Amino acid sequence: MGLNRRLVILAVLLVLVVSIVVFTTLGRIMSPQVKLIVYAYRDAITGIDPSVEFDTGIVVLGVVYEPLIYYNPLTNQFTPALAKNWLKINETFWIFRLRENVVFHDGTPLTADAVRFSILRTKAIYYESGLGPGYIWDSVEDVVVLNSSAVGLRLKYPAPIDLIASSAYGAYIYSPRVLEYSGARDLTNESIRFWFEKGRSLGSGPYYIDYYDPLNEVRLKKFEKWWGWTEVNNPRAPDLVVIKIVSDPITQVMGLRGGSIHIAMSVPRAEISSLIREGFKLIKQHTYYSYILMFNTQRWPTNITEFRLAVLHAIPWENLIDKALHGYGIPGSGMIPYGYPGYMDNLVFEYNITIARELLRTAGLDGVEIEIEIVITTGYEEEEIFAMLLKSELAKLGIKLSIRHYPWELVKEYGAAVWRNPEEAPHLIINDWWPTYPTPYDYLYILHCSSKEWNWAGYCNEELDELLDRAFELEGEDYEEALKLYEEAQQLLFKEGIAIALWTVIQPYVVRPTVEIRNNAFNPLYMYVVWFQYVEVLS
Amino acid sequence: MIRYYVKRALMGSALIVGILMVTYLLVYIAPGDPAHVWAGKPRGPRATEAIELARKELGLDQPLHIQIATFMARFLTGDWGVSIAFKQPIINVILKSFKATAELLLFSYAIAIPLGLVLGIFMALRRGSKADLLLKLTSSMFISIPRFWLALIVVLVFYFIGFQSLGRLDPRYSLELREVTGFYLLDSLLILRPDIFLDVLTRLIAPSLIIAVYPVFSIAKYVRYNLSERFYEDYVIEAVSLGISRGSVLARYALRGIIPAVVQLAGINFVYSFVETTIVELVFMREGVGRVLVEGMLRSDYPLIIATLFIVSLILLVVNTAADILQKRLDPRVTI
Repeated sequence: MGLNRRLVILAVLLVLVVSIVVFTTLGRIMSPQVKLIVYAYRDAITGIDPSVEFDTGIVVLGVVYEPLIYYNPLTNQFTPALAKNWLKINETFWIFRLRENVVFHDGTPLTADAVRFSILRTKAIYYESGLGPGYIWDSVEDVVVLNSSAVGLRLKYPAPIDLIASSAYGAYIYSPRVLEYSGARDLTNESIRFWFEKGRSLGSGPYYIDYYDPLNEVRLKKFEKWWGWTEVNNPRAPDLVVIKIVSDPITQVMGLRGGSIHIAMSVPRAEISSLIREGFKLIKQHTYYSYILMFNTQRWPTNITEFRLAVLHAIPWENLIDKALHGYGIPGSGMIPYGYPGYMDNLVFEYNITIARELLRTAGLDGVEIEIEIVITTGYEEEEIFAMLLKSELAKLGIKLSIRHYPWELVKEYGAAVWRNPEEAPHLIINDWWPTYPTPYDYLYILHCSSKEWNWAGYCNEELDELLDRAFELEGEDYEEALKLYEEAQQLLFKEGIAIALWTVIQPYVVRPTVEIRNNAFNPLYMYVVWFQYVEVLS
Repeated sequence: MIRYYVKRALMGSALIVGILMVTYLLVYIAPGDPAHVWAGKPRGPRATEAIELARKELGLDQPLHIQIATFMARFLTGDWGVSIAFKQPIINVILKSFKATAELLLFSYAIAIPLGLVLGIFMALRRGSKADLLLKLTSSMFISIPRFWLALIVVLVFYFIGFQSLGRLDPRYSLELREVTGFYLLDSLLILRPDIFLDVLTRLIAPSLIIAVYPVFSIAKYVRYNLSERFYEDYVIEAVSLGISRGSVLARYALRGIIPAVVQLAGINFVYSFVETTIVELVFMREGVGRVLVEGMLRSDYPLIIATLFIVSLILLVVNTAADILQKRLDPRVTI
C-alpha cells in the first residue's frame, strides 16, 4: 500500500516535470521573435482624437500622426514631415507642397483635402465648443486646395504659420475618411471623436494603434508603408511598442531590472546612478516643461510687492533647484524656458538676504510674524523636496511656510480660486506649463488678465496685456520686434515679482542595455514622446 | 426560501440605490471639476467657455437634486454613458477590468480555501505542539501586516529569485493572446498556447498569494479552534474508543460540521479581499477594478467611480447571499 502510494506520487511528479519542460520548450518554439519595446509611462492616456487631445495623449499621437513640418527650437531647424517644402507667398498666404507616396493607416493617400479637413476640423471644434488646441489656427481664414499635392493657407492676419504647423498639439493631419468610418455628417460631429477614442488611428506615422486601453496600455504596431522607413534606415526598429502605464516610480525601476520594461521615464532621480552602474543607459532629454511659482497677488501679505520681492531675494533659487532635482532641471531665468523663443538670460533674482530684510522693512513687515502657505502637487518628488527646502530658507527670514499637497486636479482648483475668493487660494502655488506651438505667448499667457483658468496669481495689468497682445499680433510680420515686446513683458513681471519660472525639466529616460536610442528620437516640443522609428532593438 | 430571496433582493436594491446616491453626493462635495476633465483640460483663450459648455453638457449646472435624479434615472435604465476622463464607454472599461480582478480573486481563493483548511486541520491535530505555536504566530503576523507592504516585499523577493511577477502578461504575448473570455488563464488554454498559460500563471502566483494571506489564516484559525473543540466532544471520543481512526472521525464527522461556517467565513473574507485587490493590483502593475477606481478618483470621473462601486457592491451582495444559501444547504439547522 505504502509502495503504491509512493509510486503514484512519483508518477504525478514525473508528469508535472515533463509537462513543464514540454510547455516551456513549446512556448519557445511557438513564440515568434518580435522586436519589442515596452515604454513605461507615468500617466493614464486622456484621449487620442488628434484634433481634440491636449494632454497625455501626445505620447501616442506623437508617434501615430505627423504634422506638416517639425521644428526644433534648440537647433532652430525646421524639418519636412508631410510637407516637403513650404513658401510664404506674402504676409497672409502660405503654400505647402505635400510629400508624395504618403498613405494613411487605412491605405488612403495623403492629399491636400486631408490637410484641409484636419486643420478645419481642429479649428471648428475649438470655435464651436472651446475644446482642444484649435486656437492655434486662429489666424487661418481658409485652407485652399491648390491641387492634390499642394495646399494654401489664407490668413486673416499675419502669423508664423511654419511654427504653428509644427505645433505638438492640434497640427496633426489625418484621413478625411474618418467621416465615412464614423458615420458623421459634418466636421464637428461628436461621433468622430468617439470613433477615435475606440482606439482607432488614421494617421500617417510610423506606428499605428493596435490596442488601446487608456488606463493600462497602448500597443502600437509598425506601419510598414510609412514613407520614412528608407530615410530612417533602421532595420532594428521595434515591430511592436507597448506604452505601459506604470504610475509608481519604484515599480518602473523593478520593471527595468526585471526585463519587463525597456524604457522608463519616471525613475526616482536618486536611483539613476545605481542603475547606470548596473549597465543601464541614461538619456537626458531637454524639454520645455516648466515649473512656475506664482504669488497670490490678491491676498495678504503676498499682495504687497515688496514682500514678494523680499521672498524672491531671500532664496538661493539655483541651489534649491539643484538639490531638489539632482541636476535634472535648468534653473529658470525670466518666464520662458531655456532654449525657447523669447528666453532671457540673467533675468534672475540675486540671493541677498540683506536686500530681502530691507524690502520687508519697507513693507512694514519687519518683525511681524508671518505665516504663508504653498500648494504643491502630490506625488511629484521634486516639488516636495523643493517645498521643504523653501520652507527652511523662508524660516531664516522669519516667515513660516506650511506645505499643502494635493492631486493635480485640486491644485488647479485652488489656483483658480484666486479669482473667486483670494483667501481660499494659497499664497504660493506651483503651476506647470508646456508648449503647444513655439511662441512666447504660450508661457506668458498664464499671467494675462483674461486667463482666469491659469492665471493663479490673480494678477491683472492692462499694460502687460497690451504688450502681450501687440507682440502676438506682430509675430507674423516682424518676429524680432515681437520678441522684444515679449522681453519687455517679462521685465515688467520681474519688476513686480509676480511669478518666477523655477526650472525647466531635463527628462531622464533610463534604457535597458539591449536598446539603443538615436539622438533624433526626441524633440523638446513633444513632451515624453519617443519616436520609436529611431529606437534600435539590439537583442 | 422564496421570501428570503425576495427580502434579500429588496434589501440589496435599497442598499445599492443608497450607495449610488451617497457616492454621488461624496463626489459632488469632493474638490475637483469633472467639467474641466470632460473639456479635455483646455488651455486656450476660451478655456473657461469650454469648461462651462462641458458643465452644461454633463448637467452639472443643474441643482443637486435634479442632478441626482437625472443620473439615477439614466443609470438604472442601463445608460451608463462614457468615462469623463478616458472617453470610453463605462461598461467596457468596467467589464475589462473586472475580468482581470475576478481572475486574480478566484485564483487567490482557489489557493486560500484548501490551504486554510489543510493548515487548520494540521494545527488542530497538533494542538499545543511547537508546529501549532509556530503556525499560530505566523498567522497572527501575516494577518496584521499591511497588505501593500507585503506586496512590495513579495515583488522584491520574486524579482531577486528571477521570477516575473509584474503585469498580467508578458507584452511579447500581447499580440498573440486572442481574448475569448477575458480570463487569460482560460484564453491561453483555449488557443492552445501553453507558453502563454505558464506566463499568465507565473504572474498570477505572487499577487494571489498576497490576497490569499488573510483568508488562509483566518480560515485556518477558525478551523483549528472549532475542530479541536470537537475532538473533545462525546461522539468523537466514543468513535475513537470504538477503534475508528482520528483521521476518519475528522473527515467524516468533525470537519463536515464546520464546513458551512467556513463557507460563510470565506464569503465575508471575499469582501475584504476585494478591497485588498485594489491595492495589490496597483503594486503588481495589473489592470483591474482597483486601478479604475484610483484613476477615476484622481480625475473626478464620477460616472466611472459610481458605476465601479455599483458593480463591486452588487458582486459583494451576490457573494454574501450565495454564501448564506450555501451554508443553509450544507447545514439544515441554519435559518436565514
